[in-house]
Amino acid sequence: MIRQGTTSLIDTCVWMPTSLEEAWDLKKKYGENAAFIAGGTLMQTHWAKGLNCPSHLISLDHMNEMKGWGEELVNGQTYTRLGAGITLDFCRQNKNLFHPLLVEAAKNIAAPAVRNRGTIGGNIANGFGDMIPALLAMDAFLTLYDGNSTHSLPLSDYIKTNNQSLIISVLVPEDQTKRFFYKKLCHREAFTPSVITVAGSFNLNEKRKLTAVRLALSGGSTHPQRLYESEQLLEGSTLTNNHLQKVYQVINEEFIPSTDPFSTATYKRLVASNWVVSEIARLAT
Amino acid sequence: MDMKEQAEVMTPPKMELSLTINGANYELQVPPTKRLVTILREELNFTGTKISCEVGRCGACAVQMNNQLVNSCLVMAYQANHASIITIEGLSGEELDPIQRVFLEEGGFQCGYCTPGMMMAVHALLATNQAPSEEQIQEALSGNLCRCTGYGGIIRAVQKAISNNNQK
Repeated sequence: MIRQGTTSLIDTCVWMPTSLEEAWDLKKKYGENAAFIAGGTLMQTHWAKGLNCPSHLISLDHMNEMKGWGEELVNGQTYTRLGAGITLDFCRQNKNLFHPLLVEAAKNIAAPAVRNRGTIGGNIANGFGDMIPALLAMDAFLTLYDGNSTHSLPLSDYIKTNNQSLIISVLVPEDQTKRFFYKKLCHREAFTPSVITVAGSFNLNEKRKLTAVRLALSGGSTHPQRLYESEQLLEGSTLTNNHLQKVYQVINEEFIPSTDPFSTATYKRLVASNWVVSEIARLAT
Repeated sequence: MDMKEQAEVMTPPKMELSLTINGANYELQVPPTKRLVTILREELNFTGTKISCEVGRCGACAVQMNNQLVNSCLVMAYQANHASIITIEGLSGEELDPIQRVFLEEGGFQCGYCTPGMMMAVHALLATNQAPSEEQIQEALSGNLCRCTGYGGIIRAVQKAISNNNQK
């Protein structure tokens, strides 16, 4: 039986720290030879494909800071705080606790057995998770630990850098007034990596103008992106066919997907532009 | 202080693993990253749990861990420590489990390789939702691949299990 990659696991040492400081010190000590791990559902698929498993795994299972959920007031705004260790299935199942866009995203990730193990923190930290566009569309923040202190950072800033901080929790504004959409293009209907994932949100004021527009995209091989120029073009606008055509063109220019063995960047741009424009038109009428 | 004195470490090659499987307790020594599917099949001879894709895509290795469906190829020994595991062998007692019976009656399998994982997924679904819609059934089985049946017989079997439950 072929078990590519798994032999590298035999000599792996697993650490079970109980504090952020301990976890961070272990990572500092072992550097590139160590990796933080929670559910590990994605990491294990990488190792099975032949990527070397680090010789030290630092389990985050005992981090109390990464567990549970609750409300937090930050600068007068109420946020839902989700511990990074919350599973994707917990997000999917708790419609009464979490923003519907978060629930919708969780519903579209993997399959039940994987969602029972995979965490929201892991989905973000891997850099390509399908939760990221939804969280970007909701203006989510991350609480991070960098070895010295705990601080908050907008997810939209986090994705721009190769941030190595430990994700402790995700803060989602409790604003349920915005209209939103979430769509994922895959090679089959369920449980398959995303070709592209599109999420957006906006308010529609009494004059039928769009405000607080957020558009975010990603994919299995495409880094998450906010479409700032397209958002700007929609901000304060009243939708007309001419304006939507202009938005379509700008999305097509602004979105930079990758070409992979199955889909070209041109195709992904086409789908993204079509989806965003049609979803905004649908939700704004 | 040395790092190993601060954090509990599961040093290779072995850790003490304590598991409850189908109600019976097991203690064994395994590498902390050994996969649950390998432990079940090779160390404990629970070969009803099948091994196939090994990357969590096919569901052939699905078992329940602490009452939740998991792919045992994506669970490492240290993650299963002190957990309660139910495998396909744990579904039936002296008689077949009702889910096993409806799969037989409705032709819910052909080669049978995906069937243990499929049944564990159905069991997990019906434990939390006794009257799932067809969409919910499809969603619950979305991580279990069958290359023989075209899923028609499987869906029929699940619907019959639901119908049988409702008649009780």
